[in-house]
Amino acid sequence: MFHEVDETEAIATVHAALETGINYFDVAPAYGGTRSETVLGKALKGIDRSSYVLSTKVGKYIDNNGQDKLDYSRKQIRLSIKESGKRLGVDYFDIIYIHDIEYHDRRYTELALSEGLDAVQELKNEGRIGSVGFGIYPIDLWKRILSTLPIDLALVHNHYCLNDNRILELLPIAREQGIGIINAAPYASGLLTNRGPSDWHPAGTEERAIFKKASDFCISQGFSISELAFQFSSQNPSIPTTMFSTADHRLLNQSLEWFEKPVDMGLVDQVRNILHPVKNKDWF
Amino acid sequence: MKIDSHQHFWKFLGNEKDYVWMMDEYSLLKTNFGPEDLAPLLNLVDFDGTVAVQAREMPKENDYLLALAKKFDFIKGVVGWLDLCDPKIENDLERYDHQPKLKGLRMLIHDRLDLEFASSPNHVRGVGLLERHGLTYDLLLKPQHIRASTVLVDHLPNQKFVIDHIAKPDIKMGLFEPWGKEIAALAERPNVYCKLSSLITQADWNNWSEEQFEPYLDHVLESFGPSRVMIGSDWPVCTCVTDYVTTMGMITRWAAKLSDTERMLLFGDNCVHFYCLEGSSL
Repeated sequence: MFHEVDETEAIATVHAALETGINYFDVAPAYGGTRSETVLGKALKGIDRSSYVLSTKVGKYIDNNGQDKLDYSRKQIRLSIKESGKRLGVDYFDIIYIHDIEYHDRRYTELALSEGLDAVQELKNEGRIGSVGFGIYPIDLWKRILSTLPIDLALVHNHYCLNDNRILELLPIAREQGIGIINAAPYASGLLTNRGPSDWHPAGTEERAIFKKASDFCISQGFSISELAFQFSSQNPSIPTTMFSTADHRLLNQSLEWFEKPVDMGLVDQVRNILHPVKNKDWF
Repeated sequence: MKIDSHQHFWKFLGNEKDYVWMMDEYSLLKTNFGPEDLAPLLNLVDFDGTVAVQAREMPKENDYLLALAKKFDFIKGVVGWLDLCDPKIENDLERYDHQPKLKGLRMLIHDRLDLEFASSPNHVRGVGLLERHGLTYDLLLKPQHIRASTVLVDHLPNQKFVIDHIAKPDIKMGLFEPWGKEIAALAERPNVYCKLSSLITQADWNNWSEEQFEPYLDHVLESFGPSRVMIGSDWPVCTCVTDYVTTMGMITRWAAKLSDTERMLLFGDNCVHFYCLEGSSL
Protein backbone atom coordinates (compact mmCIF):
# COMPACT_ATOMS: atom_id res chain seq x y z
CA MET A 1 0.00 0.00 0.00
CA PHE A 2 2.64 2.49 1.02
CA HIS A 3 5.77 1.08 -0.56
CA GLU A 4 6.86 -0.39 -3.83
CA VAL A 5 5.10 -3.67 -4.37
CA ASP A 6 6.18 -6.46 -6.67
CA GLU A 7 3.23 -7.13 -8.93
CA THR A 8 3.78 -10.86 -9.35
CA GLU A 9 4.12 -11.31 -5.62
CA ALA A 10 1.02 -9.20 -4.96
CA ILE A 11 -1.04 -11.31 -7.33
CA ALA A 12 0.29 -14.51 -5.77
CA THR A 13 -0.73 -13.14 -2.37
CA VAL A 14 -4.31 -12.54 -3.51
CA HIS A 15 -4.47 -16.09 -4.88
CA ALA A 16 -3.02 -17.51 -1.69
CA ALA A 17 -5.60 -15.55 0.31
CA LEU A 18 -8.46 -16.94 -1.77
CA GLU A 19 -7.13 -20.45 -1.24
CA THR A 20 -7.07 -20.07 2.53
CA GLY A 21 -10.68 -18.93 2.58
CA ILE A 22 -10.23 -15.15 2.74
CA ASN A 23 -13.06 -13.87 0.60
CA TYR A 24 -13.13 -10.13 1.14
CA PHE A 25 -10.81 -7.65 -0.59
CA ASP A 26 -10.74 -3.91 -0.07
CA VAL A 27 -8.91 -1.35 -2.15
CA ALA A 28 -9.07 2.36 -3.03
CA PRO A 29 -8.18 4.52 -5.99
CA ALA A 30 -5.96 6.50 -3.62
CA TYR A 31 -3.79 3.47 -2.85
CA GLY A 32 -0.66 3.63 -4.95
CA GLY A 33 -2.28 6.22 -7.21
CA THR A 34 -4.72 3.66 -8.71
CA ARG A 35 -2.00 0.99 -9.03
CA SER A 36 -3.49 -1.09 -6.20
CA GLU A 37 -6.77 -1.32 -8.08
CA THR A 38 -5.04 -2.25 -11.31
CA VAL A 39 -2.97 -5.01 -9.71
CA LEU A 40 -5.91 -6.36 -7.71
CA GLY A 41 -7.90 -6.36 -10.97
CA LYS A 42 -5.24 -8.53 -12.60
CA ALA A 43 -5.25 -10.88 -9.64
CA LEU A 44 -9.03 -11.26 -9.65
CA LYS A 45 -9.25 -11.76 -13.39
CA GLY A 46 -10.88 -15.08 -14.21
CA ILE A 47 -12.02 -15.64 -10.65
CA ASP A 48 -15.72 -16.30 -10.14
CA ARG A 49 -17.15 -12.92 -9.11
CA SER A 50 -19.59 -14.56 -6.71
CA SER A 51 -16.74 -16.16 -4.76
CA TYR A 52 -15.45 -12.96 -3.20
CA VAL A 53 -16.66 -9.69 -1.72
CA LEU A 54 -15.07 -6.55 -3.16
CA SER A 55 -15.03 -2.99 -1.91
CA THR A 56 -13.33 0.15 -3.07
CA LYS A 57 -13.57 3.76 -2.01
CA VAL A 58 -14.51 7.12 -3.46
CA GLY A 59 -13.64 10.75 -2.84
CA LYS A 60 -9.88 10.61 -2.23
CA TYR A 61 -7.35 10.52 -5.04
CA ILE A 62 -3.66 11.13 -5.62
CA ASP A 63 -2.78 13.73 -8.21
CA ASN A 64 0.26 13.65 -10.52
CA ASN A 65 2.40 15.35 -7.90
CA GLY A 66 1.57 12.70 -5.34
CA GLN A 67 -0.71 15.02 -3.36
CA ASP A 68 -4.06 14.00 -1.83
CA LYS A 69 -7.01 15.37 -3.70
CA LEU A 70 -10.50 15.23 -2.20
CA ASP A 71 -13.66 15.37 -4.27
CA TYR A 72 -17.00 14.13 -2.92
CA SER A 73 -19.18 15.60 -5.64
CA ARG A 74 -21.84 13.45 -7.27
CA LYS A 75 -20.19 13.81 -10.64
CA GLN A 76 -16.80 12.67 -9.39
CA ILE A 77 -18.22 9.76 -7.39
CA ARG A 78 -20.09 8.37 -10.39
CA LEU A 79 -17.00 8.74 -12.57
CA SER A 80 -14.81 7.25 -9.86
CA ILE A 81 -16.85 4.07 -9.58
CA LYS A 82 -16.85 3.63 -13.33
CA GLU A 83 -13.07 3.98 -13.47
CA SER A 84 -12.47 1.72 -10.48
CA GLY A 85 -14.74 -0.86 -12.10
CA LYS A 86 -12.65 -0.73 -15.27
CA ARG A 87 -9.37 -1.10 -13.40
CA LEU A 88 -10.73 -3.99 -11.35
CA GLY A 89 -12.60 -5.61 -14.22
CA VAL A 90 -15.93 -5.69 -12.40
CA ASP A 91 -19.28 -3.98 -12.93
CA TYR A 92 -20.50 -4.35 -9.37
CA PHE A 93 -19.06 -3.43 -5.98
CA ASP A 94 -20.35 -5.14 -2.87
CA ILE A 95 -19.42 -2.09 -0.79
CA ILE A 96 -18.39 1.48 -1.50
CA TYR A 97 -16.73 3.46 1.26
CA ILE A 98 -16.50 7.23 1.22
CA HIS A 99 -12.84 7.75 1.95
CA ASP A 100 -10.95 9.92 4.47
CA ILE A 101 -13.56 12.68 4.67
CA GLU A 102 -11.74 14.28 7.61
CA TYR A 103 -8.60 15.04 5.59
CA HIS A 104 -7.60 18.61 4.72
CA ASP A 105 -8.74 19.86 8.14
CA ARG A 106 -12.30 18.67 7.57
CA ARG A 107 -12.86 21.22 4.85
CA TYR A 108 -14.77 18.68 2.76
CA THR A 109 -16.45 16.73 5.54
CA GLU A 110 -19.91 18.27 5.32
CA LEU A 111 -19.95 17.90 1.54
CA ALA A 112 -19.01 14.23 1.86
CA LEU A 113 -21.76 13.65 4.44
CA SER A 114 -24.41 15.26 2.25
CA GLU A 115 -23.82 15.16 -1.51
CA GLY A 116 -21.23 12.40 -1.28
CA LEU A 117 -23.46 10.08 0.74
CA ASP A 118 -26.48 10.91 -1.43
CA ALA A 119 -24.51 10.02 -4.55
CA VAL A 120 -23.42 6.67 -3.17
CA GLN A 121 -26.96 5.91 -1.94
CA GLU A 122 -28.23 6.58 -5.46
CA LEU A 123 -25.76 4.07 -6.86
CA LYS A 124 -27.04 1.58 -4.35
CA ASN A 125 -30.65 2.24 -5.36
CA GLU A 126 -29.64 1.73 -8.99
CA GLY A 127 -28.18 -1.66 -8.05
CA ARG A 128 -24.65 -0.73 -9.03
CA ILE A 129 -23.32 -1.32 -5.55
CA GLY A 130 -24.48 -3.43 -2.62
CA SER A 131 -23.68 -1.48 0.54
CA VAL A 132 -22.62 1.97 1.59
CA GLY A 133 -20.15 3.05 4.22
CA PHE A 134 -17.44 5.41 5.31
CA GLY A 135 -13.76 4.72 5.78
CA ILE A 136 -12.47 7.33 8.21
CA TYR A 137 -10.57 7.71 11.51
CA PRO A 138 -11.96 10.32 13.98
CA ILE A 139 -14.08 8.89 16.79
CA ASP A 140 -16.26 11.99 17.16
CA LEU A 141 -17.15 11.83 13.48
CA TRP A 142 -17.87 8.13 13.76
CA LYS A 143 -20.29 8.69 16.62
CA ARG A 144 -22.09 11.33 14.66
CA ILE A 145 -22.27 9.24 11.50
CA LEU A 146 -23.29 6.02 13.22
CA SER A 147 -26.04 7.66 15.21
CA THR A 148 -27.50 9.87 12.47
CA LEU A 149 -26.75 8.64 8.93
CA PRO A 150 -28.24 5.77 6.92
CA ILE A 151 -25.20 3.63 6.14
CA ASP A 152 -24.64 -0.13 6.09
CA LEU A 153 -21.00 -0.44 7.09
CA ALA A 154 -18.25 1.37 8.93
CA LEU A 155 -14.62 0.73 8.06
CA VAL A 156 -12.92 1.79 11.28
CA HIS A 157 -9.15 1.84 11.30
CA ASN A 158 -6.64 2.06 14.12
CA HIS A 159 -9.23 1.86 16.91
CA TYR A 160 -8.92 -1.73 18.02
CA CYS A 161 -5.25 -2.49 18.34
CA LEU A 162 -2.91 -2.82 21.31
CA ASN A 163 -2.68 0.97 21.67
CA ASP A 164 -6.33 1.88 21.08
CA ASN A 165 -9.67 0.29 22.07
CA ARG A 166 -12.11 3.04 21.20
CA ILE A 167 -13.96 0.86 18.71
CA LEU A 168 -15.70 -0.62 21.75
CA GLU A 169 -17.55 2.66 22.26
CA LEU A 170 -18.86 2.49 18.71
CA LEU A 171 -20.21 -1.05 18.93
CA PRO A 172 -23.50 -0.37 20.78
CA ILE A 173 -24.34 2.58 18.53
CA ALA A 174 -23.65 0.52 15.42
CA ARG A 175 -25.66 -2.39 16.76
CA GLU A 176 -28.57 -0.09 17.55
CA GLN A 177 -28.59 1.25 13.99
CA GLY A 178 -27.92 -2.12 12.34
CA ILE A 179 -24.56 -0.99 10.97
CA GLY A 180 -21.72 -3.48 10.52
CA ILE A 181 -18.25 -2.58 11.75
CA ILE A 182 -15.06 -3.66 10.02
CA ASN A 183 -11.96 -3.38 12.14
CA ALA A 184 -8.93 -2.35 10.11
CA ALA A 185 -5.23 -1.84 10.83
CA PRO A 186 -4.34 -4.43 13.49
CA TYR A 187 -0.69 -3.37 13.22
CA ALA A 188 -1.68 0.27 13.87
CA SER A 189 -0.25 1.52 10.58
CA GLY A 190 3.13 0.00 11.37
CA LEU A 191 3.38 1.16 15.00
CA LEU A 192 3.02 -2.44 16.18
CA THR A 193 5.82 -3.94 14.12
CA ASN A 194 9.46 -4.66 14.88
CA ARG A 195 10.69 -2.18 12.34
CA GLY A 196 8.26 0.55 13.42
CA PRO A 197 6.14 2.87 11.30
CA SER A 198 7.24 4.54 8.08
CA ASP A 199 8.51 8.11 8.07
CA TRP A 200 5.11 9.50 7.06
CA HIS A 201 3.54 8.34 10.32
CA PRO A 202 2.89 11.33 12.61
CA ALA A 203 4.27 9.59 15.72
CA GLY A 204 7.12 11.64 17.17
CA THR A 205 10.50 10.45 18.45
CA GLU A 206 9.34 9.92 22.03
CA GLU A 207 6.24 8.07 20.91
CA ARG A 208 8.20 5.86 18.57
CA ALA A 209 10.48 5.06 21.49
CA ILE A 210 7.47 3.85 23.52
CA PHE A 211 6.44 1.50 20.72
CA LYS A 212 10.05 0.37 20.38
CA LYS A 213 10.09 -0.44 24.08
CA ALA A 214 6.94 -2.54 23.66
CA SER A 215 8.43 -4.29 20.65
CA ASP A 216 11.70 -4.98 22.49
CA PHE A 217 9.75 -6.38 25.43
CA CYS A 218 7.98 -8.79 23.08
CA ILE A 219 11.28 -9.90 21.56
CA SER A 220 12.62 -10.54 25.06
CA GLN A 221 9.60 -12.80 25.61
CA GLY A 222 10.39 -14.71 22.43
CA PHE A 223 7.82 -13.42 19.98
CA SER A 224 7.14 -10.42 17.79
CA ILE A 225 4.81 -7.58 18.72
CA SER A 226 3.04 -8.09 15.38
CA GLU A 227 1.96 -11.55 16.44
CA LEU A 228 0.37 -10.28 19.63
CA ALA A 229 -1.09 -7.28 17.79
CA PHE A 230 -2.72 -9.43 15.15
CA GLN A 231 -4.12 -11.94 17.59
CA PHE A 232 -5.44 -9.21 19.84
CA SER A 233 -7.18 -7.28 17.06
CA SER A 234 -8.68 -10.26 15.29
CA GLN A 235 -9.90 -12.40 18.18
CA ASN A 236 -12.43 -10.25 20.01
CA PRO A 237 -15.77 -12.05 19.60
CA SER A 238 -17.61 -8.72 19.60
CA ILE A 239 -15.74 -7.71 16.42
CA PRO A 240 -16.19 -10.39 13.76
CA THR A 241 -14.25 -8.85 10.84
CA THR A 242 -10.68 -7.60 10.92
CA MET A 243 -8.99 -6.23 7.82
CA PHE A 244 -5.24 -6.19 7.26
CA SER A 245 -3.01 -5.50 4.31
CA THR A 246 -0.01 -7.31 2.91
CA ALA A 247 1.42 -7.84 -0.55
CA ASP A 248 3.66 -10.71 0.48
CA HIS A 249 2.23 -14.22 0.62
CA ARG A 250 4.65 -15.31 3.34
CA LEU A 251 3.44 -12.51 5.58
CA LEU A 252 -0.11 -13.51 4.78
CA ASN A 253 0.57 -17.09 5.85
CA GLN A 254 2.38 -15.82 8.91
CA SER A 255 -0.64 -13.72 9.94
CA LEU A 256 -2.97 -16.66 9.47
CA GLU A 257 -0.74 -18.91 11.57
CA TRP A 258 -0.82 -16.30 14.31
CA PHE A 259 -4.58 -16.04 14.04
CA GLU A 260 -4.96 -19.76 14.77
CA LYS A 261 -3.26 -19.37 18.15
CA PRO A 262 -5.32 -17.83 20.97
CA VAL A 263 -4.00 -14.50 22.21
CA ASP A 264 -2.17 -14.50 25.54
CA MET A 265 -4.09 -11.86 27.50
CA GLY A 266 -1.41 -11.76 30.20
CA LEU A 267 1.10 -10.58 27.62
CA VAL A 268 -1.48 -8.19 26.18
CA ASP A 269 -1.81 -6.58 29.61
CA GLN A 270 1.95 -6.20 29.92
CA VAL A 271 2.32 -4.67 26.46
CA ARG A 272 -0.65 -2.37 26.98
CA ASN A 273 0.95 -1.19 30.21
CA ILE A 274 4.07 -0.23 28.28
CA LEU A 275 1.93 1.51 25.65
CA HIS A 276 -0.18 3.26 28.27
CA PRO A 277 1.30 6.74 27.67
CA VAL A 278 0.00 6.61 24.09
CA LYS A 279 -3.27 4.81 24.83
CA ASN A 280 -6.14 6.00 22.63
CA LYS A 281 -4.01 8.79 21.27
CA ASP A 282 -5.26 10.43 18.07
CA TRP A 283 -2.69 10.06 15.29
CA PHE A 284 -4.57 11.20 12.25
CA MET B 1 -29.05 12.86 56.23
CA LYS B 2 -27.64 14.20 52.97
CA ILE B 3 -24.98 12.02 51.43
CA ASP B 4 -22.68 12.44 48.45
CA SER B 5 -22.76 8.82 47.26
CA HIS B 6 -19.58 8.94 45.21
CA GLN B 7 -16.23 10.59 45.79
CA HIS B 8 -12.56 9.60 45.89
CA PHE B 9 -9.44 10.31 47.90
CA TRP B 10 -5.89 9.78 46.90
CA LYS B 11 -2.38 10.48 47.99
CA PHE B 12 -1.02 10.89 44.50
CA LEU B 13 2.39 12.23 45.39
CA GLY B 14 4.59 9.26 46.08
CA ASN B 15 2.10 6.82 44.52
CA GLU B 16 2.03 8.20 40.97
CA LYS B 17 2.22 4.77 39.36
CA ASP B 18 -0.92 3.51 41.13
CA TYR B 19 -3.31 5.80 39.27
CA VAL B 20 -2.86 4.41 35.79
CA TRP B 21 -6.15 5.82 34.54
CA MET B 22 -4.99 9.43 34.99
CA MET B 23 -4.12 10.22 31.40
CA ASP B 24 -3.01 13.67 30.27
CA GLU B 25 -6.49 15.15 30.35
CA TYR B 26 -6.62 14.47 34.09
CA SER B 27 -3.45 16.41 34.89
CA LEU B 28 -5.37 18.55 37.42
CA LEU B 29 -5.96 15.41 39.48
CA LYS B 30 -2.29 14.59 39.82
CA THR B 31 -1.93 15.82 43.35
CA ASN B 32 -3.26 14.83 46.79
CA PHE B 33 -6.97 14.98 47.59
CA GLY B 34 -7.85 14.13 51.17
CA PRO B 35 -10.77 14.42 53.61
CA GLU B 36 -9.49 17.76 54.87
CA ASP B 37 -9.99 19.12 51.33
CA LEU B 38 -13.50 17.77 50.98
CA ALA B 39 -14.92 18.54 54.45
CA PRO B 40 -15.27 22.32 53.91
CA LEU B 41 -16.90 21.71 50.53
CA LEU B 42 -19.52 19.48 52.14
CA ASN B 43 -20.32 22.32 54.53
CA LEU B 44 -20.77 24.68 51.61
CA VAL B 45 -23.49 22.50 50.09
CA ASP B 46 -24.84 21.46 53.50
CA PHE B 47 -24.24 17.72 53.06
CA ASP B 48 -23.59 15.45 56.03
CA GLY B 49 -21.46 12.69 54.66
CA THR B 50 -20.01 10.77 51.76
CA VAL B 51 -19.23 7.35 50.39
CA ALA B 52 -15.55 7.07 49.43
CA VAL B 53 -14.99 4.90 46.39
CA GLN B 54 -11.82 3.09 45.35
CA ALA B 55 -9.66 4.59 42.63
CA ARG B 56 -6.94 1.94 42.46
CA GLU B 57 -7.31 -1.74 41.70
CA MET B 58 -5.18 -2.91 44.60
CA PRO B 59 -6.01 -4.31 48.06
CA LYS B 60 -4.06 -1.56 49.84
CA GLU B 61 -6.71 0.85 48.55
CA ASN B 62 -9.20 -0.74 50.96
CA ASP B 63 -6.91 -0.25 53.93
CA TYR B 64 -6.15 3.34 52.91
CA LEU B 65 -9.82 4.32 52.58
CA LEU B 66 -10.91 2.42 55.71
CA ALA B 67 -8.23 4.20 57.73
CA LEU B 68 -9.54 7.55 56.51
CA ALA B 69 -13.12 6.53 57.28
CA LYS B 70 -12.10 5.60 60.80
CA LYS B 71 -10.58 9.02 61.32
CA PHE B 72 -13.21 11.15 59.58
CA ASP B 73 -16.77 10.60 60.67
CA PHE B 74 -18.24 12.24 57.56
CA ILE B 75 -16.98 9.27 55.49
CA LYS B 76 -19.97 7.05 56.13
CA GLY B 77 -18.93 4.17 53.94
CA VAL B 78 -16.20 2.81 51.70
CA VAL B 79 -16.50 1.05 48.35
CA GLY B 80 -13.31 -0.94 48.01
CA TRP B 81 -11.70 -3.25 45.52
CA LEU B 82 -10.87 -6.93 45.43
CA ASP B 83 -10.17 -9.16 42.47
CA LEU B 84 -13.49 -10.96 42.49
CA CYS B 85 -12.34 -13.20 39.64
CA ASP B 86 -9.66 -14.71 41.87
CA PRO B 87 -10.62 -18.33 42.69
CA LYS B 88 -9.46 -17.74 46.29
CA ILE B 89 -11.55 -14.60 46.74
CA GLU B 90 -13.50 -16.10 49.68
CA ASN B 91 -10.46 -15.76 51.95
CA ASP B 92 -10.01 -12.13 51.00
CA LEU B 93 -13.65 -11.35 51.63
CA GLU B 94 -13.49 -12.92 55.09
CA ARG B 95 -10.64 -10.62 56.02
CA TYR B 96 -12.98 -7.66 55.70
CA ASP B 97 -15.95 -9.12 57.55
CA HIS B 98 -15.12 -7.08 60.62
CA GLN B 99 -14.79 -3.77 58.82
CA PRO B 100 -18.24 -2.20 59.26
CA LYS B 101 -17.42 0.78 57.09
CA LEU B 102 -16.61 -1.37 54.09
CA LYS B 103 -20.01 -1.28 52.39
CA GLY B 104 -19.30 -2.59 48.95
CA LEU B 105 -16.83 -3.34 46.22
CA ARG B 106 -16.21 -2.19 42.71
CA MET B 107 -14.13 -3.43 39.80
CA LEU B 108 -13.32 -1.27 36.79
CA ILE B 109 -15.60 -3.11 34.39
CA HIS B 110 -15.46 -0.29 31.87
CA ASP B 111 -11.72 -0.60 31.44
CA ARG B 112 -12.00 -4.23 30.40
CA LEU B 113 -11.54 -5.05 26.74
CA ASP B 114 -13.91 -7.97 27.01
CA LEU B 115 -17.37 -6.46 26.71
CA GLU B 116 -18.76 -9.65 28.25
CA PHE B 117 -16.52 -9.39 31.31
CA ALA B 118 -19.43 -8.56 33.62
CA SER B 119 -21.23 -11.77 32.70
CA SER B 120 -18.11 -13.97 32.52
CA PRO B 121 -18.32 -16.99 34.87
CA ASN B 122 -15.51 -16.01 37.25
CA HIS B 123 -16.87 -12.52 37.70
CA VAL B 124 -20.43 -13.73 38.25
CA ARG B 125 -19.14 -16.22 40.80
CA GLY B 126 -17.14 -13.56 42.66
CA VAL B 127 -19.93 -11.00 42.73
CA GLY B 128 -22.25 -13.82 43.82
CA LEU B 129 -20.29 -14.11 47.08
CA LEU B 130 -20.87 -10.51 48.14
CA GLU B 131 -24.42 -10.91 49.40
CA ARG B 132 -23.45 -13.24 52.22
CA HIS B 133 -20.78 -10.75 53.30
CA GLY B 134 -23.31 -7.92 53.27
CA LEU B 135 -21.52 -6.07 50.49
CA THR B 136 -22.96 -4.10 47.59
CA TYR B 137 -21.46 -3.93 44.10
CA ASP B 138 -20.84 -0.74 42.14
CA LEU B 139 -21.19 -1.20 38.38
CA LEU B 140 -18.68 1.08 36.64
CA LEU B 141 -19.84 0.94 33.03
CA LYS B 142 -19.88 2.64 29.71
CA PRO B 143 -22.89 2.10 27.46
CA GLN B 144 -21.23 -0.85 25.74
CA HIS B 145 -21.06 -2.75 29.04
CA ILE B 146 -24.71 -2.45 30.04
CA ARG B 147 -25.92 -5.57 28.27
CA ALA B 148 -23.48 -7.97 29.89
CA SER B 149 -24.15 -6.30 33.25
CA THR B 150 -27.83 -7.01 32.81
CA VAL B 151 -26.94 -10.69 32.43
CA LEU B 152 -24.85 -10.48 35.61
CA VAL B 153 -27.74 -8.91 37.52
CA ASP B 154 -30.13 -11.57 36.27
CA HIS B 155 -27.84 -14.24 37.73
CA LEU B 156 -27.92 -12.53 41.14
CA PRO B 157 -31.41 -11.19 41.90
CA ASN B 158 -30.66 -10.75 45.62
CA GLN B 159 -27.39 -8.85 45.23
CA LYS B 160 -27.59 -5.07 45.58
CA PHE B 161 -26.08 -3.24 42.59
CA VAL B 162 -25.62 0.45 41.87
CA ILE B 163 -24.66 1.91 38.49
CA ASP B 164 -21.98 4.60 38.72
CA HIS B 165 -22.29 7.78 36.68
CA ILE B 166 -25.48 6.66 34.89
CA ALA B 167 -23.21 4.35 32.81
CA LYS B 168 -21.47 7.29 31.12
CA PRO B 169 -23.55 8.15 28.06
CA ASP B 170 -21.72 10.37 25.57
CA ILE B 171 -23.27 13.69 26.55
CA LYS B 172 -20.59 15.57 24.67
CA MET B 173 -21.80 14.11 21.37
CA GLY B 174 -25.43 14.26 22.50
CA LEU B 175 -25.83 10.49 22.06
CA PHE B 176 -28.82 8.89 23.73
CA GLU B 177 -29.55 5.47 22.22
CA PRO B 178 -28.90 2.65 22.77
CA TRP B 179 -27.83 3.83 26.22
CA GLY B 180 -31.38 4.97 26.97
CA LYS B 181 -33.03 1.72 26.05
CA GLU B 182 -30.44 -0.48 27.69
CA ILE B 183 -30.23 1.36 31.00
CA ALA B 184 -34.04 1.32 31.18
CA ALA B 185 -33.94 -2.45 30.71
CA LEU B 186 -31.37 -2.78 33.49
CA ALA B 187 -33.53 -0.54 35.68
CA GLU B 188 -36.36 -3.06 35.42
CA ARG B 189 -34.35 -5.19 37.86
CA PRO B 190 -35.44 -3.97 41.31
CA ASN B 191 -32.06 -4.72 42.93
CA VAL B 192 -30.28 -2.12 40.77
CA TYR B 193 -29.85 1.50 41.87
CA CYS B 194 -28.27 4.38 39.97
CA LYS B 195 -25.94 7.21 40.95
CA LEU B 196 -26.66 10.57 39.39
CA SER B 197 -22.98 11.41 39.31
CA SER B 198 -20.22 12.62 37.04
CA LEU B 199 -22.48 13.68 34.19
CA ILE B 200 -20.36 16.78 33.92
CA THR B 201 -17.25 14.81 32.97
CA GLN B 202 -19.18 13.14 30.13
CA ALA B 203 -19.94 16.54 28.60
CA ASP B 204 -17.64 18.81 26.64
CA TRP B 205 -15.33 20.08 29.39
CA ASN B 206 -14.98 23.47 27.76
CA ASN B 207 -18.49 23.92 26.48
CA TRP B 208 -21.27 22.44 28.60
CA SER B 209 -24.57 23.71 29.87
CA GLU B 210 -26.90 22.38 32.54
CA GLU B 211 -29.71 21.90 29.99
CA GLN B 212 -27.62 19.23 28.27
CA PHE B 213 -27.94 16.98 31.31
CA GLU B 214 -31.69 17.26 31.72
CA PRO B 215 -32.85 14.56 29.26
CA TYR B 216 -30.34 12.09 30.72
CA LEU B 217 -31.36 12.85 34.31
CA ASP B 218 -35.06 12.71 33.43
CA HIS B 219 -34.61 9.36 31.74
CA VAL B 220 -32.72 7.85 34.68
CA LEU B 221 -35.29 9.11 37.15
CA GLU B 222 -38.12 7.76 35.06
CA SER B 223 -36.39 4.40 34.63
CA PHE B 224 -35.33 3.81 38.25
CA GLY B 225 -38.02 5.80 40.01
CA PRO B 226 -37.37 8.12 42.96
CA SER B 227 -36.46 5.31 45.38
CA ARG B 228 -33.42 3.98 43.50
CA VAL B 229 -31.42 7.07 42.54
CA MET B 230 -28.77 8.90 44.56
CA ILE B 231 -26.75 12.05 44.09
CA GLY B 232 -22.98 11.78 43.74
CA SER B 233 -20.24 14.22 42.84
CA ASP B 234 -17.34 12.06 41.66
CA TRP B 235 -15.13 14.60 43.41
CA PRO B 236 -12.29 15.30 42.75
CA VAL B 237 -12.67 14.05 39.17
CA CYS B 238 -15.44 16.61 38.63
CA THR B 239 -12.94 19.39 39.37
CA CYS B 240 -11.40 18.80 35.93
CA VAL B 241 -14.52 20.55 34.67
CA THR B 242 -15.90 22.67 37.47
CA ASP B 243 -15.95 23.05 41.25
CA TYR B 244 -17.74 20.90 43.81
CA VAL B 245 -20.53 23.37 44.52
CA THR B 246 -21.43 23.73 40.84
CA THR B 247 -21.32 19.95 40.36
CA MET B 248 -23.70 19.28 43.22
CA GLY B 249 -25.77 22.35 42.35
CA MET B 250 -26.38 21.03 38.86
CA ILE B 251 -28.31 18.04 40.24
CA THR B 252 -29.93 20.15 42.94
CA ARG B 253 -31.29 22.66 40.43
CA TRP B 254 -32.58 19.89 38.18
CA ALA B 255 -34.25 18.28 41.21
CA ALA B 256 -36.17 21.44 42.07
CA LYS B 257 -39.11 20.03 40.13
CA LEU B 258 -39.34 16.98 42.42
CA SER B 259 -41.37 16.75 45.61
CA ASP B 260 -39.72 17.28 49.01
CA THR B 261 -39.88 13.56 49.72
CA GLU B 262 -38.35 12.66 46.39
CA ARG B 263 -35.52 15.10 46.98
CA MET B 264 -34.83 13.61 50.42
CA LEU B 265 -34.58 10.19 48.83
CA LEU B 266 -32.29 11.43 46.07
CA PHE B 267 -30.04 13.50 48.35
CA GLY B 268 -29.41 10.84 50.95
CA ASP B 269 -32.09 8.42 52.07
CA ASN B 270 -31.70 6.06 49.11
CA CYS B 271 -27.95 6.04 49.57
CA VAL B 272 -28.24 5.34 53.32
CA HIS B 273 -30.64 2.52 52.59
CA PHE B 274 -28.59 1.07 49.74
CA TYR B 275 -25.22 1.05 51.51
CA CYS B 276 -26.73 0.53 54.99
CA LEU B 277 -24.95 3.63 56.29
CA GLU B 278 -25.10 4.55 59.91
CA GLY B 279 -25.39 8.18 60.84
CA SER B 280 -23.40 8.08 64.03
CA SER B 281 -23.34 11.86 64.22
CA LEU B 282 -27.11 12.17 63.87
